[in-house]
Amino acid sequence: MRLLTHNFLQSNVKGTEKGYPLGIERGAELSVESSPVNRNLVLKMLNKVDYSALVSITNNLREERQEDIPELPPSLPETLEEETIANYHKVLFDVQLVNGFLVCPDTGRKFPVKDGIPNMILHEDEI
Amino acid sequence: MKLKHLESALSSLQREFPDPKVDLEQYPTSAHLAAWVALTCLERGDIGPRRSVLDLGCGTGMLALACALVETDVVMGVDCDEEALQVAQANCQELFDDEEDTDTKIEWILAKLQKPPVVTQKSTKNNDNHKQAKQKGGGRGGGRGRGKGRSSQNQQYQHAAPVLTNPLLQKQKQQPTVPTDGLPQLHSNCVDTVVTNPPFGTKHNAGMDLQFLQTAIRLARRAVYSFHKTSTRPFLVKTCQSWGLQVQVVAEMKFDIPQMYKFHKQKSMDVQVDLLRIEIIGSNENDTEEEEEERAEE
Repeated sequence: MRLLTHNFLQSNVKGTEKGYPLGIERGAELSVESSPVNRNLVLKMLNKVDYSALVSITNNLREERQEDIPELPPSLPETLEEETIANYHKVLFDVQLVNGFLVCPDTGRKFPVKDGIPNMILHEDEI
Repeated sequence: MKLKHLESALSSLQREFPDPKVDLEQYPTSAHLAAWVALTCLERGDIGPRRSVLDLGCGTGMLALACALVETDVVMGVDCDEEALQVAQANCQELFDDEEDTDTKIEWILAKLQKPPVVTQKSTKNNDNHKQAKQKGGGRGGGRGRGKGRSSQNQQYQHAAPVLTNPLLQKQKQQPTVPTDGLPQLHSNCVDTVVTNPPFGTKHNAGMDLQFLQTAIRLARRAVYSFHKTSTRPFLVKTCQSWGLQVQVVAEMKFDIPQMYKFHKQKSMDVQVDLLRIEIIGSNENDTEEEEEERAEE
């Protein structure tokens, strides 16, 4: 699961107010690829994502994997250097959560991620 | 890419469900149909390079992977059957075994649409919500294509969330709130196009087709392609029009539903099916804006 997808997901378990952004529990198994930078895709997606959620999850993951995950500007810069675009590409598309848990910020409900597939299904009594 | 090439690439995949579940109405999608749908969407610019697409109820991933094969930038497959998604993931690996084979970003998500509430009469609630959307300056393209929304009196429906609430109301870009339709965990507007071959809502699942359609419309910012029984066409067209959306019947076809479950008495059964394309309001202006931005960048 890429951080792009993480940005679009939220919790709706009973008792949730906002359920966003989901945390990623420490110790999760990540993989970091290096795919060719798709500049147009990055520019398009930057308009669609919740920027502050992207920055905060990136900062969280950097606490454990600083060497693999680039730092993002705290707010979206007016002009984008090529290097910054490459960093956005890395964070949005190359960092993948393979195994671990997404955590609802309101209720602490954990959503397991197994082999890269997040399981967002709720039990009957959680709806 | 030619139809036969696409079809042949898909035909090596496992399209059958490992453990078909009757309440989900799981039937395999043929390579031919998946390829044809992908090319139809591609022709209209709804998928392909610079587009993102979500397959709602993707099963073993035939439609999603057909979209990936025509070089759609981002493809998301959503289904509630873990085993089916595992097959989809394996199919994906078979198709693109070498990472270099594709630049497409493919994501699989296990999630379930909630059972639809009872369908109720909607027109006044709808218009009320619509009005509020306009006042807030949200709900893009508001007000087009509707005539009789004149109710301003009460706000009491704001939280009522009937199944037919105008989905455009929920299209907000920042500040996500928990939407009340079938799949609250995915943000509104998160992809350009949604393709869906939903359950037809025949097996203890009445209204499920409409729930899929409504969710698809909320998630897409450009277009929705959805399969429905031809017998439901007048109702669906009317419903979409009441949301202010344009519907086009892209194709009429026969689904050959094979004998897969015990209750099937006949060997197979033909069902008349439409492929509908729903144009999301405001997608055109949005598009121009984006293309201008891209030109400016270049």
